Amino acid sequence: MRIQQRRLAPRGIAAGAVTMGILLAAACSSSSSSGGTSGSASTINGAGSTFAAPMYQEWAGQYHASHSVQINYQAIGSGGGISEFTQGIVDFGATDAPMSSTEQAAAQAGQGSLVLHVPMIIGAVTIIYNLPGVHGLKLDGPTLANIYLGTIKTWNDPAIKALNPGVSLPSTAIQPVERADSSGTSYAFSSYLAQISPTWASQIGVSKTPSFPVGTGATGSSGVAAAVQQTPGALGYVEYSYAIQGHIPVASLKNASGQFVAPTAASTEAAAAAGTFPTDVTHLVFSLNNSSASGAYPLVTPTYILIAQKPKNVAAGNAVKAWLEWALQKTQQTEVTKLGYVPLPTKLVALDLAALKTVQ
Amino acid sequence: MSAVKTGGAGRLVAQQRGRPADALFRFATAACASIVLILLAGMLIRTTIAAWPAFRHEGIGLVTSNNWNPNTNSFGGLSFIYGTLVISVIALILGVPTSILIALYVSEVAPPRLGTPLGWVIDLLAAVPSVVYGLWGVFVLVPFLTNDVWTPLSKSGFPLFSPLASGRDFATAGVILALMIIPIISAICREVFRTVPADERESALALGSTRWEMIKLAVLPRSRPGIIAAVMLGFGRAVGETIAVAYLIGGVPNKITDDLFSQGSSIAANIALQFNEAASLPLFKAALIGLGVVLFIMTLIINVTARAIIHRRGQAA
Repeated sequence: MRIQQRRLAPRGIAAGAVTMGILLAAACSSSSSSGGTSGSASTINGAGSTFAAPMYQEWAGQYHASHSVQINYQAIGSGGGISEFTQGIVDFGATDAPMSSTEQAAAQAGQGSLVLHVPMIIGAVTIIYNLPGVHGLKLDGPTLANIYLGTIKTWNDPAIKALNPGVSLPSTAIQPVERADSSGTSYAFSSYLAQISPTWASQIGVSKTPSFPVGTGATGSSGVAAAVQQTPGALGYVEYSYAIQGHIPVASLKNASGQFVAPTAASTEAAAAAGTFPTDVTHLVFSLNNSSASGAYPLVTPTYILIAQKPKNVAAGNAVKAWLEWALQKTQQTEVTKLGYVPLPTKLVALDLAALKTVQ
Repeated sequence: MSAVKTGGAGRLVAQQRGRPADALFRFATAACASIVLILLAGMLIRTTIAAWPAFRHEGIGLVTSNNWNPNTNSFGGLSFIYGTLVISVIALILGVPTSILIALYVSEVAPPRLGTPLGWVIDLLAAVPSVVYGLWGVFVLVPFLTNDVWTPLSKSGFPLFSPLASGRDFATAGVILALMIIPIISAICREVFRTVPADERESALALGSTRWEMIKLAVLPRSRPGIIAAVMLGFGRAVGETIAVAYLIGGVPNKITDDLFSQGSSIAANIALQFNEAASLPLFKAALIGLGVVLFIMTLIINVTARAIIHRRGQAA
């Protein structure tokens, strides 16, 4: 017993010391992040988009290893990100859909500063399908809109036949699959359809939770992928990486110059490169849908980080700024392809850096 | 601390010095019990306050209107109430007879060598998290049901079953709920059957009953209130079940139809599916919390009804 007790004692001290260390570290980090003095915080918190979460979390881990700054990113959804940022709970928000003017006003009131959208990641939304024996399906925006509006019901509809000459299409019913949960992917998909189809724009509109009149809702991109793979005749939309990793057939989409383009890293980059970006760096909000550039895939979407131009907590603001500047460097940008996104075009990187420069 | 030590120091000592310990014990139990009440009242009040903008905006339409479209600020949640009830009823129709038969087998029919381990397995199934049921449902149950059960049913021309879509519908959600409530109902029924006194069974057998007649004469009548309580607990779980249903019901609002192969949504599933993006839209958030209040009231009604039934049966018996 005695021997055991003696052995235990140093351990107890060590445990106590570790606990004290953690408490001290916590105290230090909280004092530095709430201090509001200049310098850079050692812990920053962000929340929002699930679409971009894999990349932010990867960047957070790497940045922690190289710069000893802890970035806690919580993938709670874009709406949650906007809300927590507006309330000042997190140092930065992340959203797939740009804030509405009401949301922007609320966020600026909450932060007491102009709030910037910094586009950080660009990715494609792919149309996946399950039609045994049919490869290389071609679709265009109006047809896709009509399928999801329920006016095109079968695979051998004249509209689909006209786009796929020489392909024998079955008379089976089309089973559209959509996201049942609110999602940035749905936002990108519905904004593309709204740009192309006036009917879609007036009846359904652009939303993270569109009210689809037909189809089956599945949860998450992986849920949509599973539903499409299990259901002959199904059609769905997912982020690019899910289609590639799942080896699911993807449809080519007709872009604004009439070309049918399959979603690839190259065709997504082509759309990004051809994008027209705003000149006002305080509001870098834009769409890459329906590109007319040669070889550009038409369903491409940016996702944004939200930061205050004059952060209340200067140290945390500086830390977020430094992290984003680091993420915009070439090494970090080439890594985004591993997760199915494409690097930002050079001119957009320049605009982002100019926007970040205004943060102080 | 010292009171506890005194209490643990042996019976005689504890009884002599027991008064402060008793008081402390009574206080501790009462305090913990009151936490439950405070929590309940607090939740109901807070959620109702948080949901108030939606009640004011929609009025009674929140539960009577079948138009849910957050994009136009329309929050009529009738289809979710409908979906919740439809899948729960399917679950009860499939689950209750099965559960009672399982419980009878375990407690009355099977030899103890088989019945006891079977009882453990049922308890184990009751502890499987619902997200696991949901994932299993997506990747195993849906393909099986679609290919081997729903397709023949949909071709049968029976009125409740239309041509099949994707296997994510009221029927599938009902089946997964049945599978989730079977362990609960059968575990409780098993315990209820065990409380039937041995003399009553033996007298039934002594009068020349077969085993089935003994069950009918002695076990089931004695157990009726317990069975009803078990069913209501199962119903309560089915009504509130979230993730597995969200995965399997097809998540489409505004569907009120007698077609069991139609996609739909339930209250709990819709809250889970849409809450993420509602955070920055105050009215949308309030409407979802309002649905939560509705679900709370539904569960309350179910529980009160169950107690009333048990009480009345108890008096009649």
